[in-house]
Amino acid sequence: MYKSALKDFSDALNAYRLWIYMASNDIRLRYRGSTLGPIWITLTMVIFIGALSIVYSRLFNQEIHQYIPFVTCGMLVWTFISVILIESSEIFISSKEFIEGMRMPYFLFVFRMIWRNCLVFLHNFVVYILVVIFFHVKINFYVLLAIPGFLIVTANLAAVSVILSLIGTRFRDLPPIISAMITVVFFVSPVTWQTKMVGADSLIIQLNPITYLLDLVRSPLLGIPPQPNTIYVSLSMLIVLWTFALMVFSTNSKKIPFWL
Amino acid sequence: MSSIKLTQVSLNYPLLGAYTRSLKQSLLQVISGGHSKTSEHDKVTFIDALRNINFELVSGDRLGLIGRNGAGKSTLLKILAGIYPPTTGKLEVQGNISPLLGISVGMNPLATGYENIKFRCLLYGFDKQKIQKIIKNVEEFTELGHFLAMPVKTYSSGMSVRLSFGLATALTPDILIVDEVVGVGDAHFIDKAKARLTSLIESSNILVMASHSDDIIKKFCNKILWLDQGAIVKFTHQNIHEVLTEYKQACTV
Repeated sequence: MYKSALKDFSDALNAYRLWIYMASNDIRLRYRGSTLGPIWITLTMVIFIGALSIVYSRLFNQEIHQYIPFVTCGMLVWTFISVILIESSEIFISSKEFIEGMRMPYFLFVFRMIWRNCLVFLHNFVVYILVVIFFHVKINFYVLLAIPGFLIVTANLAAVSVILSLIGTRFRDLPPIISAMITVVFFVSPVTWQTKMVGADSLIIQLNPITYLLDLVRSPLLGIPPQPNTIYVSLSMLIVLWTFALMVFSTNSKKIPFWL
Repeated sequence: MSSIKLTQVSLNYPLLGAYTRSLKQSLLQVISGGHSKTSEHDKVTFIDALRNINFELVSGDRLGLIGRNGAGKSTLLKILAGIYPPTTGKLEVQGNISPLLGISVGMNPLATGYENIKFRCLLYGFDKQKIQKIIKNVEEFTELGHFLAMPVKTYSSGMSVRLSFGLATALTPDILIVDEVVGVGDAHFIDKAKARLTSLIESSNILVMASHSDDIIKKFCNKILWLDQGAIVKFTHQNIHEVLTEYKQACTV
């Protein structure tokens, strides 16, 4: 039943040189003609974290040298998650000329968008390194767990983007809906505040998938292993999301050129 | 050895964006010549774009596709290019396809000419050396010079055609599918395009070309397919001149 979806997926994987080039080209195009170029990505992150930390550390009564690393890692992951969710709904729409001009595997556009955001993540990672140096964050071997953690987060987000991209192509009012929801999700997710401030067994934390995605990458980067719960939940999400994504893709991918 | 075979291919697709029933209905009647079906849901209409298409092409065939606007020519070409999936029927294609379906389709308008060439090459999995060769080939053919380093959206339609055509034909495809774009270029381009097509054809590939130009069809095609309202009126390799005349007469009636 999923044969055509899996073929599309493997065709897209084989064309890796194309989507890797397209992703870096997208970033280059975005900053073409600007003075600092992609350094703006890192700079915006620094400014945001700086401003946030000055106010929120007071608000939450946190020591600033502990708060800044926490917020940096949280923002690193949150930016990755939120931008992917927002960009997902438009990946086919913004590549209309390609899709109508020649046959390309649809998963290619998913991979291109994900890789593009991985490149932005790497730009922002520089901020983390700077914070580690300036605030003497204790680094231990748990940091290496961030790598598989990041892969699991990416895999989860990829499944969600497949679903959102199809819905977004069919229903053009999806992007503003997602943007509106993202703002709310930001505030109810433990990005700027720690779970222990609310109480770790609060439903807002436990039922929020973002909590687990944050934990997978942020905790190792701060030298703490992720909660055991996190692994179970995120791997279960992975299976459920991909099953659903493949199902939605199989039934609807053929209609994409007609929806554009 | 390239080949194309269509067996009872039909295409029925949803047309989105129409809201009021009556305006939508009358628009569709005019455009599709009376072949549209409405589902119960008010907003989505389905178009019967192609009905029961059967034909076969083998290596060396050059098919001219003619028909009125809205007959289904572009739709048929998109099915051959693998962009639209047929609703029923079977499409069997052997060989690499290089489509040229419009003036600036298949390209990212924000990217430069060079970047777009590279996209196409990477899609086909070419290595660095081959990409360089193709870039040189396209540079020579298009004569676009330093414009190739500018975003494609700054190009005039003539320039875009030169780039799309040059790129689609540089890749020495087994099957070339062209949709009425050649007419957009100037005389100099048309001469070069004809020469390029001639040499491509000599390597016994398949050419499928939709055109409103008798001249081009008479010069290049050995078979002709006349589509009207999504169905085949005539498909033949004999008496192409006569089919063209008949088609002309049917249009003026």
